[in-house]
Amino acid sequence: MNGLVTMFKKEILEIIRSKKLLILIILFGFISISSPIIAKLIPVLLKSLPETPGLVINLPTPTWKDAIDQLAKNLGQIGMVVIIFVFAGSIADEKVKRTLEMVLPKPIKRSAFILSKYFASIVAVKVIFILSMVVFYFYTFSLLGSFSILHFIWLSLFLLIYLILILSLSLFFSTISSSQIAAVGFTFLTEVVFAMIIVYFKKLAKYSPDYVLSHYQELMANGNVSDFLPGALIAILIILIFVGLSVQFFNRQEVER
Amino acid sequence: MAAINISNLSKKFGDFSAVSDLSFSVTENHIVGFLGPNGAGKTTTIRMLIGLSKPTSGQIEIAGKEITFGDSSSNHLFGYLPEQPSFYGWMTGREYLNFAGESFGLQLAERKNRINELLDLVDLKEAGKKRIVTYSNGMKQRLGIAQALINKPKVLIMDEPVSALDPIGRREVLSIIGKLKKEMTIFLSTHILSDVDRICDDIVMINKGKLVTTSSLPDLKSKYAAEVLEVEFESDPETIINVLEKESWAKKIKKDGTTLRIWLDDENAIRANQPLKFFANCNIGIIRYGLTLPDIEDIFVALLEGK
Repeated sequence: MNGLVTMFKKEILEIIRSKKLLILIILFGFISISSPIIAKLIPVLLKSLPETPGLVINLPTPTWKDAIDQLAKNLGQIGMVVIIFVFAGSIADEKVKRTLEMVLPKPIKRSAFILSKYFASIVAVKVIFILSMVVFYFYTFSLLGSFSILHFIWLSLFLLIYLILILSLSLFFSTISSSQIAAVGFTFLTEVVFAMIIVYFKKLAKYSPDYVLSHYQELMANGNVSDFLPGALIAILIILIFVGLSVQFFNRQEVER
Repeated sequence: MAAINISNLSKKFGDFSAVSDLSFSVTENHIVGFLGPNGAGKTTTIRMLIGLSKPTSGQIEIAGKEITFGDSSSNHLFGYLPEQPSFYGWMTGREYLNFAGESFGLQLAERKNRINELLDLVDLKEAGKKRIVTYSNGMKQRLGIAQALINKPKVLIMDEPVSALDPIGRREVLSIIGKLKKEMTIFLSTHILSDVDRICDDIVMINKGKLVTTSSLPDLKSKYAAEVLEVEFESDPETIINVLEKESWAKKIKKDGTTLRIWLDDENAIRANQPLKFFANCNIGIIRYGLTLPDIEDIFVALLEGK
């Protein structure tokens, strides 16, 4: 496709030079290292508090499950927020800074412009995420004992699909918005809708892309992957639909002055 | 074959017509000034030409190929420079040219040679290694010209290429455009009329989205070649203007400081020395007295006034 490779190389270089990569490394590095450490230290910290008469705190010995709790919570909150803020400006910024009007008059297909944004962002998030999960596994293993690597790989895969969904929403809203703030707002709003499905429509919960964020312990305990497939497949479907919609919108979009 | 051919081009924003039924063509290897006052529709037309904006109706052809909104397959035919080019500031000038060359499908060896040639042309050989974020406006404009020329396009389209520059930057950019003369068709919008006089072969003038005229510059000047008498005085000639207006040979008078420009109604007036006799009786010292032709600014105003 005209310009896809050129644009992809440019995007990867931009992710590295504009410090997006650094932010992702710090974020995922922090989550992967801090999750097992916090799980290990919380009982110690609570024990060190001054004793209150009448209040007895009995805490069980921390296990890898507490680290997984921390991991899922951090990825679902800090991870989501940072990914939205890092990538929601990707396309809107090119409109605002008017770099777009220097690129589109070149023989670069509009679809190549959009797809390169998706591919480069997904590659960056995927590589950093996989490395951070390896770090998480070894930290948790050495601090809190062993757990099923197979179940953890499945969990990581479902969490990655969730993060790519958030990334795709950010890029889609960045395509249709003329500012980063609007793209951030729309992405948060859509994510709230997914979360509401779990809270208000219990029967539909399994089909929500957010399902893995609330039921991860079941996956780690019994490895019942089939319960998580509907949510993951819906997430993949939504990703593909939003990529397609981004291309369609962008093909018809006039570049404003 | 015309380098650019525009037929019945229109662009509406709601009820507002920014460009209405515009038709003109641009001759190959000419430098063409696209003129008009602010808000005339110059930038809107250019944005349709390069595929950033979708025409409401009409056709555009560049080098014989129809331009369709959203289709980039004709983009190798032209290079484009906006009024204030915006680059990826994190790239160096050389990297941006490499990116532009790659997007036009130039192979590595060809790309390297072309980048060196262009950095030489726009005098950015040293600065090419620096990040664009550190460039001045003039340097960015010169880099903008280089990226627009990367694939030796048949047509170079520039939107107000010197408007945002200081006099030195303007001179540098105009000198580069001058060097490109005859190598390609250059279509540039501007409102700096002295620049048009300096570098353009032809002009296309629009106002309120409609064509006012299209012509070669010499033809236009000869068409509006009414002789103009230019007289410079040693003091302000304001007091004599009222009397001068009553003279039958003075069609139109324009005052610029201590200089009067008088459009003559009858060429015989000069032969009969009527103006000289008139000014001799005015008791103001004359520093300079001579005939001249109207400049492009005079023509521009006359055309816009529908004269």
